[in-house]
Amino acid sequence: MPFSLFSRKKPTRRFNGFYADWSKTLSENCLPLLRQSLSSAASASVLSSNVDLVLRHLVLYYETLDLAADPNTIAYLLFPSWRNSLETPFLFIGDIHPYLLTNLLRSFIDRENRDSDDDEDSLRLIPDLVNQPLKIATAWKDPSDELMTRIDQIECTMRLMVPVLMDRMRKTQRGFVSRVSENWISSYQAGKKKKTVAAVAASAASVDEEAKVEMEELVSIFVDANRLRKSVIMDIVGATSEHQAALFLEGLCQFLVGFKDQVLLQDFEVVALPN
Amino acid sequence: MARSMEAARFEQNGFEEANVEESVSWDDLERDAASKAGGSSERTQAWRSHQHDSARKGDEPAGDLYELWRQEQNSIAARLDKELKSRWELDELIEEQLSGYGSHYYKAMVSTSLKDVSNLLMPTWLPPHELAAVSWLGDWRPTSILDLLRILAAQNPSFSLSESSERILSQLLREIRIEEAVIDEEYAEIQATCVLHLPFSPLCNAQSQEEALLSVQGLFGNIHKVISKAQRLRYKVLELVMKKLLNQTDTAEFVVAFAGIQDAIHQFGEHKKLKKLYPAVPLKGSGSSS
Repeated sequence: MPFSLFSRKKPTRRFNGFYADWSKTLSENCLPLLRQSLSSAASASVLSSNVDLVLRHLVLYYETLDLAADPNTIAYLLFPSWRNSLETPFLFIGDIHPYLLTNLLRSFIDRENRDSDDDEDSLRLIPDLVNQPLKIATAWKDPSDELMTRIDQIECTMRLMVPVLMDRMRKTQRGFVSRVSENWISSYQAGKKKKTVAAVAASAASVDEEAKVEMEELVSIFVDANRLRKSVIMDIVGATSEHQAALFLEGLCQFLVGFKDQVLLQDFEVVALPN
Repeated sequence: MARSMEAARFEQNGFEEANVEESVSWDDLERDAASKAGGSSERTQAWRSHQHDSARKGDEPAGDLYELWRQEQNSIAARLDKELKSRWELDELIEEQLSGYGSHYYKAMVSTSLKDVSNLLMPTWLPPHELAAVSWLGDWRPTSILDLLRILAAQNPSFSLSESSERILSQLLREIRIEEAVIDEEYAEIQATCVLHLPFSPLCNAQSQEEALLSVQGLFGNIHKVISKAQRLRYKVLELVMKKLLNQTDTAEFVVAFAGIQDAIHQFGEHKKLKKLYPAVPLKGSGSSS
């Protein structure tokens, strides 16, 4: 039984299993729920509780990621085999880039507030909007100054934190290679005099030792990156109106679910790069 | 181009290397003379007094000594000749190794399928712990390569990095650090902004499956360009280090260390992979929040 290693203490399951279930819930429950609430039939309280539910589902994902991260497992979380080849190039410290969230929000706003000659175009592109109640269809029209200020603030915080995360990533990797190099070079020099087998064994032990330090720092970077993503999602939902929040979460879920599109993935596997 | 660089290295280091040869032969001569003069530990002293003696006496042992000296000269010349030949071999080996790196990095640039792009960033043939430990866009950071050189120069007493080379190295570290950051920015732009043009994005205009694939293709083409840039930067750093910055012996030391350290980290990754400590979560988190 593959899980026997973990079942000695509390009952646990592999993260990839959780992720598969979580993704399924996202596409089969969350997205339909949101779409339903955005249709004309739903009441305001249904909309509100569904927004809440989907937000909780997204937060659950980031909290579970944190629970799964430790120095032994962080490598798998940073290079997740449970993500397909369409997704992996877009992973930033193990998940979506935080800027993507505000960019998505801004794109919604920009699209609805472009110069008038584009209006017809944008409506054509999102036929669903035509059938939506006016409140939803115009949710992004003329956003309040308060919302725009709040988006600026969220972006500002992110633009302070993302470079710090990148910097920590760079420093911890360079630090690791430097320390391993130091140890390797000194044991290589010692090995010139003594038996080299001993030197090789010593350097293997030292890589292990240095890696422990590095993996711990990687866990902390990963947890911080997830905290940032989670808080940006929560901040956006907090800053927007109920309708806007529902539309934003719908867009985000649609995006996350889209990576698992089987038809697209099948084509993806056989397509060549452009020249 | 490779040839002119080779020539440049000889021009650059020719003088230095000549010095080394000279000191080797003097060393041998002195040691030899010292042993003949009665094995005194004060070699230089002995050599001088020996010279002095034979000049003053000028009798029959002088001919023998000359013969001995001549033989010694010939044997040293023969040894030097051998050394020179092995030096050419060393050059060839270094050249071979550099072109090995070249084709390794080039392979990434001629990838043809979209899937290759993902494999370059997250190579399935490398253990995850190795990737987490060192990987930047699929391979070692160029700055890490320079860090290794810096440490090698500081720790290895036989390393003869000149003062000007050391200055070039720290200058190079700064420049490559900036180039790395530029590539990071470009990649972040793709991950944060261009990603919204994927066909399933709520903002994508793609109408048909063909259009959808075209947008994916375009996006992956851009990612591939960024990876190629990173690969070129890695190769540029190695080429500068091996052809411009270091003399032949130091280059050989560097290549040995680089390969050895890469291997040590790879072994560590393989070892960790065998332990199969996969991420796990409490069972109650069933993947559904409802």
